[in-house]
Amino acid sequence: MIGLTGLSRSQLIIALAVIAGFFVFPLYAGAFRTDQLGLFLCYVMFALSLDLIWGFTGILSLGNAIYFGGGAYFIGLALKLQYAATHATRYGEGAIPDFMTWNGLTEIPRWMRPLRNVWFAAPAGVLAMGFLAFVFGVITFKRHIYGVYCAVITLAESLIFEELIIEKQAYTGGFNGITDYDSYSGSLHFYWVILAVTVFFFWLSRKLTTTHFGMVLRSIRENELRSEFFGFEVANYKIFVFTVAAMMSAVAGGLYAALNGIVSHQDIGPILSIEGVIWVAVGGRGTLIGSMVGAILVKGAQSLLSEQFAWIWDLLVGFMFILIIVLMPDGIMGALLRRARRRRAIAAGRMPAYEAARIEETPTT
Amino acid sequence: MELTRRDLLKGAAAATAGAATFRAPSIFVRRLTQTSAQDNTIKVGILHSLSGTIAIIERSLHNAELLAIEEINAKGGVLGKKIEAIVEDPKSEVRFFKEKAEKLILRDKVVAVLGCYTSASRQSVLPVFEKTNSVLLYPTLYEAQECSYNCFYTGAVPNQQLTDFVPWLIKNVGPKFYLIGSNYIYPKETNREVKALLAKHGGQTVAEEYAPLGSTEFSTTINKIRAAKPNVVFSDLVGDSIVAFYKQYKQFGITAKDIPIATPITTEEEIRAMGPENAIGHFTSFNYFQSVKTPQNDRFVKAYKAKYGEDRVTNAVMEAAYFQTYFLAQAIEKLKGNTDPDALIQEGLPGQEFQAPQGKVKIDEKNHHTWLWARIGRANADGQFDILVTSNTWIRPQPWTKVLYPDKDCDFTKVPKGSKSGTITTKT
Repeated sequence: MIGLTGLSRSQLIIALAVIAGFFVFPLYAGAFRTDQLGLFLCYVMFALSLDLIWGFTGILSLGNAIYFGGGAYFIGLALKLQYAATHATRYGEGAIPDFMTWNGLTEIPRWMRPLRNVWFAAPAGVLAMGFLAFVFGVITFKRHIYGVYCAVITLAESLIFEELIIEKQAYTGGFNGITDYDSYSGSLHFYWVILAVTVFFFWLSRKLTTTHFGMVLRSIRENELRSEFFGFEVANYKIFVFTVAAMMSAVAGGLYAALNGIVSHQDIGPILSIEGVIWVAVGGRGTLIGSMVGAILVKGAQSLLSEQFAWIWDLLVGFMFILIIVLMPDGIMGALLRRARRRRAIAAGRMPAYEAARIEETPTT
Repeated sequence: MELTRRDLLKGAAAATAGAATFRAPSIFVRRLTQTSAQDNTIKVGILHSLSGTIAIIERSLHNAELLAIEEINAKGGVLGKKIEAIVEDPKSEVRFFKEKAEKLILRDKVVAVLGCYTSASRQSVLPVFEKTNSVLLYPTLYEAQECSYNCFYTGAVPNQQLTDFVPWLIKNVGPKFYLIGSNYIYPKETNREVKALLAKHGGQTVAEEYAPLGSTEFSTTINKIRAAKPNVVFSDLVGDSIVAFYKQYKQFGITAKDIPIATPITTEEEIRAMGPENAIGHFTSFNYFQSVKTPQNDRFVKAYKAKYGEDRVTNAVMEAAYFQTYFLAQAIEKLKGNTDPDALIQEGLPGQEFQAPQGKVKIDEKNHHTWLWARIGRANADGQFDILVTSNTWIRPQPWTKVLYPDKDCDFTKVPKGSKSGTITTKT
């Protein structure tokens, strides 16, 4: 077991305890909080995928929500088609989704029909998003676009997709999104499925980043040119990790759609993409755990604060971001990890305290 | 008893806390009274965005509902119980609307929710209300064609705004219409009805055009309008586009005398945002304008300005938000304090009447929509509307407008029990 996870004994115990905590949470919390935590776990997976590409490889993508939203639309559409086939909706029509009726469609377009089977739609969505990311990745990384330019391009991609979703309303529900279908909200089993997928993705991300492959990713982040001089095909590494992350996002989005019961253009647009960057930054980039902690912490704080202070909660959340980033530039986990390393170093007598203090000032790698 | 240092500290802390409560801005005071409330209150959820892109208009709805609750409580509440408002901010985002609706229903166990503005937000929360069998009162004018068992619609549907408006425009302005709208469901549905009415009354559609939501660049459109020479520009642009379109229209030198803009959606609020000089002479059809002359409206406008500031304007949607709060209070009163959702939906709310600022309004006994008045107003230099036409009587809401759907209707007394959709076909 220890070999499989690459964790130390104490880390493994902590990890199992956390998983157990999440596992039993719904038994003590109500349906509302359980659903909420399920959604947070979807965001956690989203943050994990972003940490892989940004935290480890240094690709700042402001378009990660394309793949999350894309996965969500595949599932949302599938569930909606299923629902419409068996229920007359409150709009009095049946057989086809209401937004199609509004836009003058009288039958489901031929190319969309396979989506009526959700077991087809789920893998199709993930593969489609992987393919899309591959294409975008080739375009971007083979042409050596990096840094701010990469952020700008991905942001533009995100905007284009949001616009497309709003524009093609006969197929996507447009501005109103896809709503009113059978979701899995309130299902304990579905929550556990989400938890299991989250754990699997964490394990996968660890595998990717703790191996030789992960070392190359980090070297790309630190110095792309030098990595290339060493003979690594940098673009291919980037394309690969970008594609894997996109597929993870798509899975997260699909689970999100199935649990939430709504998919809207906001799930695919730049706002969610940027929110993701904030979660990773707050939690600590390049630490995996940090991105997960960040997502849960920020989303949780948003929910709880907005319930308490409906009037000024955005300000409070904004203030919290600034505080964390100023006090802990590496995010919460970054700061904790550095402190731990320093303590270990002093305890082992490897360095005097004044020397160790310098670790505080140099960034973690 | 000896006074220890600890006791003193405690006392001081309590005193500071007390003073803080007393001095703190009203938000904190409200919160404290809310959490200390026991079972002697009736909890009502308020679900309007206080931040984000649609916050300007939604905050006015939120304000109007709180004003009504304050008035009701000042008069002794409902059957001696105070109404307790539980406020949530869904931040103009669909996913937050759903989350907050769930929280209000499942955790706070509110009797009903007053909320939503856009159709997108309403549609995102309706499944929640239907699943949990709870009550939503929705104040916005909307495209209709919807009947949910758990929702009461107190805003106008197209037949209440267009049936008189379009023939009036044809007769008094001219028959050639240029239709422009934002690209989503509401303008498309509205324009379908406008086209049907034009066909019926001898009018003519010269063009139909949709701009992306939120778009603020209209020079191409205005040039096309110039070339097409219509008599009326019929606009269902929403949000920021309204302000941009009116402004650019004036910049291009077209006045209301040349080609007036007619719309079922531009309120005093948007005119305030664009500046009255940009709206002079253009027509709006609504159930309510701030300039309506009724004793109820005088009171309403005065109370609103007193609570929120002299420079505030009132508008049709917030008027609905205001009177729907009274509908709910009266319904609970009618049921003698019973707040069971099925009782509210089947007996409490249907048929409920209220002397609103616009005149007497009523929830239809069968279709969950509201009988409202129709008015045509022309914007004046003060940012208000001169009311040119008022309907002789209140107008029955047609969720499925007769012009487009002659054999469809909504009737919850005729559908099988447990059905969430009230839509029926009258012709078999």
